[in-house]
Amino acid sequence: MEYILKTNCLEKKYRDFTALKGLTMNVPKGAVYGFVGKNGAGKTTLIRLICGLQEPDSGEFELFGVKNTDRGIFKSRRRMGAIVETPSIYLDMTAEDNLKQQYDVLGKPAYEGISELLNLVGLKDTGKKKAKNFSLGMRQRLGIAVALCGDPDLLVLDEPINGLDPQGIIEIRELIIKLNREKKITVLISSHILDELSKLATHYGFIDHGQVVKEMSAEELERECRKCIRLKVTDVNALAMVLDEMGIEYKVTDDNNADVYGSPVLSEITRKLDKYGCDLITAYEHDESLESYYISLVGGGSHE
Amino acid sequence: MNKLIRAGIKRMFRLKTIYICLAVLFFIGGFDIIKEFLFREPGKSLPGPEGYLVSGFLAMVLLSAVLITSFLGSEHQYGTLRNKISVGYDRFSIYFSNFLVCYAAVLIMYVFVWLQTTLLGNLMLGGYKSSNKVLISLMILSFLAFTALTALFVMMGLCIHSKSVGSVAAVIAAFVIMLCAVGTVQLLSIPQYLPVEEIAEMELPGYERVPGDPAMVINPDYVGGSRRNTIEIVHDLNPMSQLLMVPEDADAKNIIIPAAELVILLAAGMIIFKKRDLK
Repeated sequence: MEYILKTNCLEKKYRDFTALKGLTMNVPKGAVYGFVGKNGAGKTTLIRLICGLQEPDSGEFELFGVKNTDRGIFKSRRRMGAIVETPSIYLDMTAEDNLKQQYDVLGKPAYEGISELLNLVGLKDTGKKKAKNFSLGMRQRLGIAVALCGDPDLLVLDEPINGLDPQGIIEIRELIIKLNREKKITVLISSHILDELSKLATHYGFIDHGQVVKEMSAEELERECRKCIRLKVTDVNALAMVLDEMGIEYKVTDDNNADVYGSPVLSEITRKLDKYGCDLITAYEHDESLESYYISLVGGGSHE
Repeated sequence: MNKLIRAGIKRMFRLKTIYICLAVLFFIGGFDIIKEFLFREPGKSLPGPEGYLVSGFLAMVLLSAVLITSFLGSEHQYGTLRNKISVGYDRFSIYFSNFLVCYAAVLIMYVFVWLQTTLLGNLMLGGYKSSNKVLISLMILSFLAFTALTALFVMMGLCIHSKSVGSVAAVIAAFVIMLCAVGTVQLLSIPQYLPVEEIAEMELPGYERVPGDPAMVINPDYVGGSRRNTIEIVHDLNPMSQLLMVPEDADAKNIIIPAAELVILLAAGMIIFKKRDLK
C-alpha cells in the first residue's frame, strides 16, 4: 500500500506535558483517514508537526516519501493544504480576495479557478461580503477553499465540524466526500465527533495519550463492531436463563434489555420465555457504534 | 520569497491603515507648514522646514509601530501565517519577506515626509535654512534609523503572538524612543557655562564664576560626569535622539550604531521566530 504520510515514534513535550509519546501512524493514499481521540489526546499536536508549525522533540515523519529532517520537506508541503483548529482566513477580506491572496502566496500566475473553487465550496454568491460577516460554516468552507488553492494531494482538516450546525455539518461532510472521490484528494481529518466521522472515513487511527492505539480500515472496523439483536423483555432474568439454556452469547444492558449476539431464532426464544411468564416487547438489530468501539479501545476515563 | 513579498505588498496596500498613516503625516507636517504660511505674523521671518521634517519623523515612529504591528498582528490573529508555513515556506522567508513589505511601507511614509516638507517648505517657507551637510546627515541617519525601527517593530509584530499585546508593546516602545530622544537631546543641550549678562543681577551671587573667564558662570543645571556618560550612551543607542541633534551638530551622528542595531534586531527576530512554536 502506498502511504502519503508515515510517522515514526513522534514525541512532543510542552513543558511538563507530553502531548505525543512515540506516535506511529500511516495514512494511505486516497483515504479519508479519521483521526479519532478525545480532547488533549494529541491530534492537533500531530497536525501542527506535519504542517511545520512546531518541530518534534524526537521521532520523524515522512510526507510524500520525504523525511521531515530533509530540506525537501518544504517542497512536499506544497502538495498539502491544511486547516489547523480554526480556518486561516483574513476576516477583513471577501471570500474572493482571500483566495486571491492565497494564490499570490503560492505564486500562481493568474487567478484562474477561483470561481470554480468558490462554487465547489458553495460560496460563489457571497460577493462583497467580508469574511467577518460569514457564519461559522461559511468560514470553515472558505478555509477549505484556501487550503485547496494549491491543488493539494493531501488535505489536513483539524476538527472541521466543531461548532457547526447540522446543516453545516452535512455540507462539510459532502464537500469532503466530493473532494476525496472526485478530486482524489487524500484527507486526514481529526475529530472527536465519532458518529460523523464514521459517515466518511475509509480508515481510522485511534489516538489516546499521545499514542495511536489502533489503526484500521473502515471494513476492519465494521467487522470489529459486532452486530447484535437488542431484546426488550418484561423480565430480563428470565431472558438470561433462556439464553443460558440455549447457549447464546448475550449482554444484559439494563433491567429490561439485553444484547444478543449471533443469529438467534426469535420464535424459539419467545416460546421459551412464555414458560417463565415473560413477554418479548421489542427486538431490533443493533450495531456497536464507532463510539462504543472507541470506548472499548481507550476506556471511558475522564479528560485530562 | 518573491511570491511572499508580492502577496504581502498587495495586502499591505489593500489595508486602510497605510493611507490613514499618510493622512496623519500630512496633518502633522504639510498642514502645519500651510498653517505657518497662512497665519504668519507680519514682519516675522519664517522658520525653515527642518523642524517640520523632524516632527514628521517623530510621528513616523509611532505610525510605523501601529502600521507594522497591526499588519503583522492580523497574521497571528487570523492564523494566516499557517497558510504560508503549511504550503512549504520556511520561516526565514516568511520573516524576511514581511520585513521587506513593512520596510516598503515605511519607506513610502519616509519619502512622503521628505517630499511634502521639501515641496511645501520651498513653496511657502523659502526652503531649507540648514547646510547641505546637515541635510545629507539627516537623510542618511533618518534612513538608517527607520530601517532599524522597522526591524524592531517587525520583531515585535512577528514574535508576539497576540495582536493586541504586540501593538500595545510597539506603541509603548515608540513612545519610549520618542520621549527618550527628546529628553536626552534636551539634557545634552544644556550649556556648561552661561554668560553673566544672561543672569539677573540678584541671582548672580548664587552662581560660581568660571576660573579665568569673568564673563561666564558655571551652569548648575549642566549634566556632567557619569550621568552625562550614561545619557550619551542612551543618546547614541537611540537613532531618533541622534536625528534630533543633527540640525544642531551634523558631526554628532554615529551611523554605525543604527546599522548594528538593524543587524542585531533582524537576526534576533529571525532566531526567535524560527524557534517559537506557532499557534
